[in-house]
Amino acid sequence: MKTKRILLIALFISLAAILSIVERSIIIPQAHPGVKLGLANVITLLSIIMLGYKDAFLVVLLRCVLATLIGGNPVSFLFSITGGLFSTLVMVLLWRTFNQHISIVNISIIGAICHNLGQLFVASWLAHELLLYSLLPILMISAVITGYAVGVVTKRVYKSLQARQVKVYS
Amino acid sequence: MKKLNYYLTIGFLGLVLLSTVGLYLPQYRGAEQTLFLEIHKDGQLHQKIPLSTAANQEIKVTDEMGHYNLIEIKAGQARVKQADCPNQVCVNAGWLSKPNQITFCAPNKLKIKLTGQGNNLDATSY
Repeated sequence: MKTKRILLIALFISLAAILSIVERSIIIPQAHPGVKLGLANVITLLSIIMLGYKDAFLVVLLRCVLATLIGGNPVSFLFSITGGLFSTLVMVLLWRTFNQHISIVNISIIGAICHNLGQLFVASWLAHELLLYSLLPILMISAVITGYAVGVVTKRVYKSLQARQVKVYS
Repeated sequence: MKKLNYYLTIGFLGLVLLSTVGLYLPQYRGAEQTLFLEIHKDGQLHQKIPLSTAANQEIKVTDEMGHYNLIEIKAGQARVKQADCPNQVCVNAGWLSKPNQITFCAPNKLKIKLTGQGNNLDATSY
C-alpha cells in the first residue's frame, strides 16, 4: 500500500515537471505575453483529490524545482513557486471546506485566478511598480478560460482513473 | 450550499464582464498629450525621453554582467527590440504608444514605461 502511494507521488511529480516544460514551447498566437495554459495544474488538482494536501504541496514544490533545474532561471522559479503555492493553498482550503459541494471545474478556475494573482504580486514587487496591476483584467479573463479548460481535462482524467480502479489514498 | 456552483459560475461571468470593461476603459483617456519614455534600470530612473519629439533611434542598456536590452523608438512609439533574457516577455509585449503602458524584463530588472505630462483626465474635465 505504501509503495503504491510513493509510486503515485513520483509519477505525479514527473508528469507535472514534464507538463510545465512542454508548456513553455506552446505559444498561443496573439495572446498577451505572460498568458499560459497552466497544464501542470491538472496534476496539482489530481494530487489534492487523490493524495491529500500534504503530498499535494510536495508535488508542487518538487515540480517547480525540477522544471527550473531542467530548463529555467531563478526568476522563472520565483514566479512559478509563488503562483503555484498560493493557488494550491486556496484550492486545498476550498476542497477541504466544501468537499461535496464544489465542482472540480470551479476549483480549477479559482486556482488559476489565484495563480495569476500570485505571479502579478511577484512581478509588481520585483519591478517596484503598481502600474503593473493594469494587466489584471487580461489576466483574469485568461485565468477563467484556461482554468475552465484545465478543470474539464482534470475531471475527465479523474473519472478515467476511477474507472480503472486507481484507489484514492487521501 | 447546494447552489454554490451556480453562484460561482455567475461570479466568474461577472468577473469576465468586469475585466472586459476594465480592458477598454483606459483607452478613452487623454489621447493628446506629451508622452515621455522612462527607462528604469534596477529600480532607478535611467533615462527620460520626450517621445513625440524624439528622433528615431535605438538605445542599448547594458549592465555589469553584460546582459542587454535594445530599445527602439520610432514614430512616437517605443518597444524592446532585442533582449538576451530567456523568456522574452518584454520583446513580445510589442509597441507601446499610450500613456501608462508598461513592459518589464524581470531577469534584467529593466522597466520601460510611457508617462503623460499635463493634460490628464482631471485637468480636461473642467
